[in-house]
Amino acid sequence: MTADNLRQGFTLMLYGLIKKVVIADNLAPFVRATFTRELTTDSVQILVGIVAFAIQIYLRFLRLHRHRDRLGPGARAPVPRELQPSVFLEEHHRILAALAHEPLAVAAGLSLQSRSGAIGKGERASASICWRTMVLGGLWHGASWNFVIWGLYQGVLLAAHRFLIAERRFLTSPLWDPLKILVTFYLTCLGWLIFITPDLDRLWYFAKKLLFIEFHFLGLSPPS
Amino acid sequence: MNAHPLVAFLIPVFFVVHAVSYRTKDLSRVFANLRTPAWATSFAAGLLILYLFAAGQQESFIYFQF
Repeated sequence: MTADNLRQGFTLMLYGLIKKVVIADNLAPFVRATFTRELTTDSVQILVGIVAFAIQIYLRFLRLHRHRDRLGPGARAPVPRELQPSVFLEEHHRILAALAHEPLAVAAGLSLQSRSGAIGKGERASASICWRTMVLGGLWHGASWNFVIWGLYQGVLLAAHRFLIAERRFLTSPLWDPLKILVTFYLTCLGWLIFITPDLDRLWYFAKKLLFIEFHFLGLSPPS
Repeated sequence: MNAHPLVAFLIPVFFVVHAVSYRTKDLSRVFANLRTPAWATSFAAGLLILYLFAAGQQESFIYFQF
């Protein structure tokens, strides 16, 4: 252990604490007020609320990715065993891992078998397994239709991306990157809306507000 | 939004902090390589931010705040 490593360790801890306790936790009351209390009619607040929730989620799970990247494959762990992401996932996501591991492995295997041009039988089966796995993953979060829809939505997005864009090498020019980032972020935020809204009535209401953002200055409003 | 004025400040702060940490290969290493007085000052500034703006309860600190 060197002084540099010690300083880096303290810096990382402080940096993580600021992101979680100062940024994410200060956004939480606003997110809660937007999605679980009285229905707001303001599309901008819904948009800001869902971006705030996306930031909250990102900051909550960021450390895990950073630790994983820092460890690298086969690297000797500089953090205690209980703080290692693989151990965390093993301990805290045991049920999800048990549900998802086998179908995901099968999906990966089928995908490897079918790297041909058109969407073949194997790819269709792989897409089907993909969304079924994500529905199970959504249901793992709780017994609610929101989680089922969220899982299905994620599965469909994954399958659509995999077979319509990634494997077709569609929109590969870097010029498309800003648009791809924007669309991906918007679709991700729609997913978080499904995740956080406590009931289907509210979900439908918020989704309309988010999909057909009201442009008051143009005199436009969403369909009722 | 009016009831939560800090939100309008924190979201841009997040995007700035994220952009800086994304562009800098290893931000924590940059801080660790500072000379000790500079590092101690920046660390104290971080602690002060934490002290002034920390939200939530100690008991629920580890959990996700819904």
